[in-house]
Amino acid sequence: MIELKDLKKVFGSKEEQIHAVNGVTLTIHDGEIFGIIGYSGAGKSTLVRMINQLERQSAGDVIIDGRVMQDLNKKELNSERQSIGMIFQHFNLLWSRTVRQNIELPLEFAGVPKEERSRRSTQLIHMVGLDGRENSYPSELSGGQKQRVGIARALANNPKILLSDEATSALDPDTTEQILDLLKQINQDLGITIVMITHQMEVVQRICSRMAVMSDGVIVEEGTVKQLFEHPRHEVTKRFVQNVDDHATIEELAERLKLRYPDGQLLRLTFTGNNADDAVIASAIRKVSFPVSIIESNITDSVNGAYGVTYLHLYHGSDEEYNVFVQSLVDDNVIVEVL
Amino acid sequence: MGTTLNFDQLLTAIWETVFMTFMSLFFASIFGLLIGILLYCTQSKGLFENRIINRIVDIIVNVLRAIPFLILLILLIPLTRALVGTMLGAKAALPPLIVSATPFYARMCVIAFQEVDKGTIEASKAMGASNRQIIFKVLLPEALPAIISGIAVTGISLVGYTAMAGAIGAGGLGNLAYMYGFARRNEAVLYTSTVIIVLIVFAIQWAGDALVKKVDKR
Repeated sequence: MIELKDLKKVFGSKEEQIHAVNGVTLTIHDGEIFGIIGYSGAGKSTLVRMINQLERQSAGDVIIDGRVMQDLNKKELNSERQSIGMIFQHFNLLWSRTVRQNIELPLEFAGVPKEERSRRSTQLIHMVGLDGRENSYPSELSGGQKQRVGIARALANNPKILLSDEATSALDPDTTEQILDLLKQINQDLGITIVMITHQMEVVQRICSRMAVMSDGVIVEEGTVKQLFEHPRHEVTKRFVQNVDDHATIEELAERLKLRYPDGQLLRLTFTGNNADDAVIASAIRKVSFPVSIIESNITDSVNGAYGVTYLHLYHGSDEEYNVFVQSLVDDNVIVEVL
Repeated sequence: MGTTLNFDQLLTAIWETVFMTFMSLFFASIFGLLIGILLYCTQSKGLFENRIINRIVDIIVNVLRAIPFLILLILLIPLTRALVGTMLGAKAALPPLIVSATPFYARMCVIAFQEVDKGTIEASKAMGASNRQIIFKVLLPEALPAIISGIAVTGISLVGYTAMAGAIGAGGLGNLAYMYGFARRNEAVLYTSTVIIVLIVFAIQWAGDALVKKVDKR
């Protein structure tokens, strides 16, 4: 378990202080994938670096499995760090070492004997799917392959925690998905706690169970990914959720809305311009007694009427009433799909 | 105007130049690398940040680099006498050559280390590496191409310094060119010495480039 208690980090001189992290309290449980999302400058990179003490906090405590990190001496800290793997946006591999040698580096640091190192690295190379590339240099690998080496290296000493600092930010969408799947696999197979720092909502959505939203050095919202997706409260959270919707395809959006509105009925209305008038939704609502909410709408007015798509959420109604509602819209030349 | 070329004399001079260059290069590389590591590690946010040591070493390096070699030769006469017992001959040229090349090479090493990706050092810290492990397993191997090409550059400038040292009595091709080529107007000696010096410089450059190419996997 990782406990962060009122963590603060102040950078800069006495005249000009920057509060990168300004009082963060957070508990991350064993075996979960926890996402910390925020825009750049929110303080999330500084926060994750305080977990393994790459940054010393100005105030507050970092406690991992009951051990107070800032109280450890240098030697204890180094041995504790061997049980916390870390992966980076720019991979941070040594160009002077081959794939295998890069993966063996943390084992060398830990004083693992040569034969054990090579046995372990063979195992890890297989695990991250880099068989056959063990003698390549990083310069000969693609971004996704480099991150696989980074992941293997981070797992070499069998850590209980894996910190991921924007590990997919330098990768294309397909590669990002592959790397996320690999991380999820590792989490399931090895039970490693993963802390994901990211500015990509898709990343959190794909593999995290719980998440925190960070802005200006503080956590503005925290909860399960489902909760925050369905009911974002804070402005920043809403922007992240909105952002996902903007970039999503129609199918992805439908999936997401279904997740967000599990009960009732979801309708997608497509307006093609030949509607009698633009009050079609209002007139349909008048025919039924259940509440209707417009959850997403993208309608453009034109001289021929309205064009675009609207998503409606119907709830607390019977199937018969739903049918009356749908029929009313269909009569008004609206294309209706039940999601 | 003389044109005769004493072959034995030439061979001796070549040997003296090669000896002075490589002996001083050897020591300057070791001392320079150590001082370079010291400067890099003690700098702000370095592995063993220490402002005072960094400042002092930095000033010494800058002062030594600022003194023209010819003046350094004269200033170091007492030191040379104490170490070598004489101030004539190839051996006597070593202390001033080393003192002059060490800070030069140290500076090149600092630049080499600064070019090492900070991310790899951070990653190593995150893996629980000690500072010693970071220096030997990360910093030096990652900076190796620049460290090697720095040795080549230092070696080349040392060839030039040996010629200058030669002119005031250290022997070598510089001495030959000056004493016979210039003072006695023996053009054959002058041009031969020059060509051989150029060839030595080329050889160092070529060896350096070949080695860098071999170790650089970027």
